[in-house]
Amino acid sequence: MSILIRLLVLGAALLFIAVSTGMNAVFLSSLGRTPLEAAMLGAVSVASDAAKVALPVVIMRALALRAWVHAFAATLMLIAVIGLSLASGTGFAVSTRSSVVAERETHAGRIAARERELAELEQRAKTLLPSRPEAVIETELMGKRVDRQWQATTGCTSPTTTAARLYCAEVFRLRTELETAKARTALGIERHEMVRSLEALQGASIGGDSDPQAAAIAELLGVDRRLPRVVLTSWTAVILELGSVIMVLLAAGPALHGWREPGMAEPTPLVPAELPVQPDRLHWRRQRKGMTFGTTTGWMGDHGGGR
Amino acid sequence: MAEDDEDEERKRQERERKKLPLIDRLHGSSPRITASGFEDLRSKRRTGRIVQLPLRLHPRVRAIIDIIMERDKPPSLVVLFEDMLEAYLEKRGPVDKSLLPSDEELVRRYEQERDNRDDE
Repeated sequence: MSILIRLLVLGAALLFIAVSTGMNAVFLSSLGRTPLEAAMLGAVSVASDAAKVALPVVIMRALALRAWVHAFAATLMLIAVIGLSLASGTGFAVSTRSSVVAERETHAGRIAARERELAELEQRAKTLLPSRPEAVIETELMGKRVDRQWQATTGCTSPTTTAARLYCAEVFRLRTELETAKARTALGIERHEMVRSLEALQGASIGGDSDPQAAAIAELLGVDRRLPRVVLTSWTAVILELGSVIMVLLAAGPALHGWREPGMAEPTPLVPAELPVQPDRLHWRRQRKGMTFGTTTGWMGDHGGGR
Repeated sequence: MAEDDEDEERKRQERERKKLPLIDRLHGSSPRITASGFEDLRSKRRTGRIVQLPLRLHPRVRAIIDIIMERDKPPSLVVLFEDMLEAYLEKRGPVDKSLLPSDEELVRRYEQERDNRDDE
């Protein structure tokens, strides 16, 4: 179990480091104008992330060794590299999230435009007068053309008598109705195409909202949706930075390595065996220049030894 | 009956030995009191170095040791050996104390062997 926890922490730390390094390097190198500049900025980012991983452990060791200057310098450096990584990570997260949100907004805009056009079409269809089907009208018109009045008025171009005028008025009414029916048919086809297009857009819809997470949190907290969007975007970068610093510290620290499962016997620490203290040897060593005095635990010291 | 007396005597000796410091038990007696009523000063120089370690050396090793003895003037070859052993432990890593018998056990073994040989 303990090994599993260690592996999980180590795996999480490695993932955080890899993702953070990748994100920061991609973002920072994107600021370069030429490939060389991009490579240099990417290298700076990678070096910064490498330092960010190593410095917490260095700080802890410097504190344990009471090397205050080293601890201070390492802390200063760590703050600086975390700042850089945080800025890069936030930039990457913002650009990624913004592009996704923009895509969703564009999609939603397309749907809204289609819906507006469909409403306009239906409005135009409502303004048309009621008409019978085109075939019916055309058949009736054909029937009118075989009438004697049709030839007498030269196809209703020159009606002279009252009867001819009435006949031609009927023909023109039929023609108007035919045009109305044709327009209605055209509108129907156009509406059908638009409905299909709208359904396709709605079928491919990424979500009802451009940023549903931010929208839901904003609604829950009763704040403007831009605030949770900014916080959520930055939070990803903060988690990455904290993860790649703290998880490394945990992976290298005593919380995992010093833990033993309850019931497991504590390993006996190694106590070095020491040579018995002998006055002649001590005396000789003191005589030699530059020699430090050796260990002075008394073999049999508790029993009167070391005389 | 005689065996009972021997056992009784042995137990009495063991009880007496237990009262002595380990260094005196190794040397087989408590410090001697001289005729003047003072403790014999020689008994204060007891080192516990009573175990023999026979060695056969290459002549060149012996020659090197002789030069060291002449040059650095260690008080004895034993002191030089102890110094070398300490340097070895520092360089190659210490020996776990738990692997060694206790001082009490070492002394007991020595006394037991000495008693056995005395009986023979």
